Amino acid sequence: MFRYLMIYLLKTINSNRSPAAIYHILTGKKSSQTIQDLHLFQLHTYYRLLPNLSRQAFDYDVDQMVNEGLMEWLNAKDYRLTDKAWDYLSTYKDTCDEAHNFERPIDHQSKEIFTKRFYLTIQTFTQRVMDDTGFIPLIDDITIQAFVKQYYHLHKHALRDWLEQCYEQLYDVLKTYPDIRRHIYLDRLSTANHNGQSLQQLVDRYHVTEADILLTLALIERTLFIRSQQHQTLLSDLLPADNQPKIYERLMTRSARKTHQLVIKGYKIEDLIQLRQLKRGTIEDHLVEICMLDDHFKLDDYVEEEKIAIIESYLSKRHTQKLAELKRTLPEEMTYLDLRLVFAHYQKRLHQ
Amino acid sequence: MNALETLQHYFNYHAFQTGQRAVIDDLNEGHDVLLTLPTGAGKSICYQVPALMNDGLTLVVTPLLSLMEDQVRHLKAHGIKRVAALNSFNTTTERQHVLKNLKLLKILYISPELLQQDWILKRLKQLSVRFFVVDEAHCISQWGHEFRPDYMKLESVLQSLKHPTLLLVTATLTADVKRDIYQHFSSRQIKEHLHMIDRDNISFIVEKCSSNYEKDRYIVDCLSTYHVPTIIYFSSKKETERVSHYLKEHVPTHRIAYYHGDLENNERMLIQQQFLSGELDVICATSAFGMGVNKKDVRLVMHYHLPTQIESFVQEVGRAGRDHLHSVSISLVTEHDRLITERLIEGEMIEENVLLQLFRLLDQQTHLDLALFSDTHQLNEIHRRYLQNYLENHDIITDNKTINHHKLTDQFKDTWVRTVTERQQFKRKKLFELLLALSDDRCIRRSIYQPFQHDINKDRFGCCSVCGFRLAQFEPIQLQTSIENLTWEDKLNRRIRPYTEV
Ligand SMILES: [Zn+2]
Repeated sequence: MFRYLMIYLLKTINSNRSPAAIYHILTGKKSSQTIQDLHLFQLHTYYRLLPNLSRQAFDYDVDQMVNEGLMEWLNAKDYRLTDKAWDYLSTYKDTCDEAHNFERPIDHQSKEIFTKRFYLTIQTFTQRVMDDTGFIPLIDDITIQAFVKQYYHLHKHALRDWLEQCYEQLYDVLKTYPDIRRHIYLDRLSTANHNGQSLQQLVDRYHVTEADILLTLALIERTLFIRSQQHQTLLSDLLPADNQPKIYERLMTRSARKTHQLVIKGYKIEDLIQLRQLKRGTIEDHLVEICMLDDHFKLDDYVEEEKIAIIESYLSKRHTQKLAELKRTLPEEMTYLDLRLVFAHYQKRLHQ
Repeated sequence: MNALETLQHYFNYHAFQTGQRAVIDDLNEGHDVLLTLPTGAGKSICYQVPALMNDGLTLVVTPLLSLMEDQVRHLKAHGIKRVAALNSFNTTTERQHVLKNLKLLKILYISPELLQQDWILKRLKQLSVRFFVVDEAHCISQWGHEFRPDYMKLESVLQSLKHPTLLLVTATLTADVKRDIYQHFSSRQIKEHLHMIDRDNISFIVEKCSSNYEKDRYIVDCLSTYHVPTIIYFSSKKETERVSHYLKEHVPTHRIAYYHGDLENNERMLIQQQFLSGELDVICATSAFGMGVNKKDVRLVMHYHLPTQIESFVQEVGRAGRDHLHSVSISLVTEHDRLITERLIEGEMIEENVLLQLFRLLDQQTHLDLALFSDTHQLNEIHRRYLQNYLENHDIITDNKTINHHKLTDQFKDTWVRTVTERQQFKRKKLFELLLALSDDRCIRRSIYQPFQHDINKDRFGCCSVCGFRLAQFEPIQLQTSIENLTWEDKLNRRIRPYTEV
C-alpha cells in the first residue's frame, strides 16, 4: 500500500530531490521549497495526505525499501529506483490504483475537521444509544466537541435512524476496499463497547507498517469526505461551513500571505519592499509563490506586456525548464524576476 | 445542600467512604488539612464536595496531566460543567477559552509550572479562591520519591491569594516528607487526617529469578494459569515492548499491549481506555501507567523490574484489588537488579561536578544562560528547573538572569553541594530499604508498609510468601475473553449498530 505510493512518488520527483521532500509533501510542510515542489512535480493532491506521519515511520519504510532492493543510495542524499521498483509499480498497478489516482486536491483543513467531527459523532451517538453518558471523548479539541454537542441535540430523538443511515454509508464505502483495509479502519473506530486500537496494535495485528495504517485511514477518510462534498448525504452536515480563506492562501508561507494582502490591493514591487521592510529578493520569492498559487494574480502588474509576449512565445517553442537558458537566450533587459514570474504563470496555465 | 446531599446529587453515591466526611467538615469550617488515604479511596471527593458547596473557586494543583484530564472529563460526565484544566499541553484556543471563563469556574486543575507564570497568577489573584488543594503533596519534599522543584514555590503562591483554606493530599507520607511539609507551610495550622494505607486484600510474593529468560517463562506460566486483569511494571521502555511481544506469542489467549511515555498522547489514551473497559487483559508498562487509572478489578500486579523506592512500589501495587477482592503482587528479582536500579538513580540526580561547573560560571559571568548551561551538560528539564528554582529561591539570580555575586558565598556553595550529595545517599538508602523489604527474612507486607504507619491490618486472603502464602492459593474469577474474530460486515454492524447485538 504505502510501498506503492512511495515508489510512485519517488518516480515522479525523479531523483531531483531527496526522499525527505516526499515526507514534507505528505505531512504538509509549509515551506517555500515544499510548495514549489508541489508545483514543479504536480503533486498537489498528495499535499498533507498523512499529516500525522512521523519521520521515524517514514524513514523506516525507506530503509525497508532499500533492504528489499527497491531503491539504492548513491550517496547520503541521492537515490536511484531499481528495476525491481519499476516491476513493483506495474505488478501492483491494478490493486493499488486508488493510492495514486486522486482526481483533484482537497481542502485538507476541511477534511481534517470533517473527519474529527465524524469520529466523535460516531462515538457519541453509539454510546448514547446504549445509554452510556460517562464516556471519555476521543477528540480533545473543544471546538469539535462543541459542534458534536449541538449536532447531538438535533438528533437525540432519532439516534437509531442516524446510525442506520451511517451504517449504510460506511457499508457502501468500505465494500469497495480490500478486506485488510476495512478491518483496519473498523478496528481504529471508537464506539460503544469498543475503544479504537492504537497504531502499534494495528501494526502488530495486520503485519504492516505504521505508514500503511495511516494511509489506509487517510484514503477511507478522504473518500467519505469527498462523497459528502459531492452529494448531499447524511454526513454532509459534518462539513465545516465555507467561511475560511481560500485553499491557496493556506498553502502560502505566513510571510508570503502578508505580502499577498498587499498584492491584492495592487501595490507595486518598490512599495512592497518599503511596506514589508524586507529584502528585494524575499519579496521576489513571495511574488513567485503568489503567482503560482493565486489564480487571480495579475501578471501584467509586475511584468510589461511586451516582455510577457516574448518570453511566452519562446517557452511555447522550447520546452525548457532552465531559467539560465532563458536568461542567456532572451534580450538582456529581461530580469530574472520577469523570467521567473512568466515561467511560473505559464506553468500554472499549462496544468490547469 | 449539605455535604451528603451534594454527594448524592452530583456523584450518585449513597454514603461517604471512610474518612471523607471528617475532612469535608474540617475544610468547610476553614481548617487546613493534611490528608493521607490509600490510592483509590476517593480522595478527590474530599475537595470536590466542599468546592461545590461553597462560593469561590477551588484550585487543585497536580503534577499529573493525565489525572487532570481524567478528573475534568469525569466531573463533566457527572454534569458538573464549571471545571477546567490548565497545563502546558493546552492549545492556545483552549487556554484562552479557560481564561475567558475563569470567573465562572468552580474547580480549576492547574499544573505547578503554570501556577508560577505571572500572568496567570495575576488573573487568579483577582478571584476569590476558597480552597487551595495540593495533590501529591509529597512532591514538596526533597526527600519525597517524586520531588518536584516547582512545588517549592507553592507557599508563596498561597500567600499571595486571599486566604484560601489549604488541603494537602498524598498517599505516601513518610516521616521525612511530613517534616518537610510542616516546615514548608510553617505559617499554617494544619489538622491531620492520616489513614492506614495498607491493603489487606493483597498478598505479596517475591520470586527469585536468575535471568530475564526465567522471568519471561515465569510470567508465561503464571498468565497461562491466571487469565485476569494484570499490570506488569518495567523500568525500561524497550523491555515493555519486548516482553509484550513475547507474551503475545506464548500466551495467545490473552489480549496484551504495552504502554510507556514515548507513545503519542492519543495512542496512550486508547490503550488506557481499552484496559479500563476490559478490552485488554495484560499491560506491560513503565511507571508512566496507572496515575489516575481507576480500574477496580486489577487482580495481578507484577514487577519485572523494581522501582527505586518503597513509595513507588506501594503506589504501583495499590492499583490491584480496588474492589477489595483477593489480588496478588508478584516481584521478580534477580541479583543484578540492584545495579540496574542504581544506574536509574544516577540518571535522576544532579552530579556534584555539574554544580562545581555552575559555580565557576556564576563567578565569572554577570548573566546566567541556564538553557545553554543545561544543553552543554545534557541536563534534562527537571534538572534545569531544579537549578533555576534553587538559584531563585536563594536570590542568586534575579530577573531571570542577573547574578547577585555578593550572595554567592562559599557557605552557599558548600551547603548546596552537601544537599546534593546527601540526597544521592538518601536515594541509595531508599533503594536499599526496598531491596531489604523484599528480601526473604521478614514479613513482606509489614516491611513495605512500615515507613507509613506503625500498625498493620490483618490480611484477609493470605499475607506473603515469607508468611507461607503460595500462588496456588490464589483462586480469582477468570476472564472468558478472546480475541475478536469477525467478518468486516459483522464488525461494522457491531461498531455502528451496537443495539442489534443485545
Ligand atoms: Zn507476611
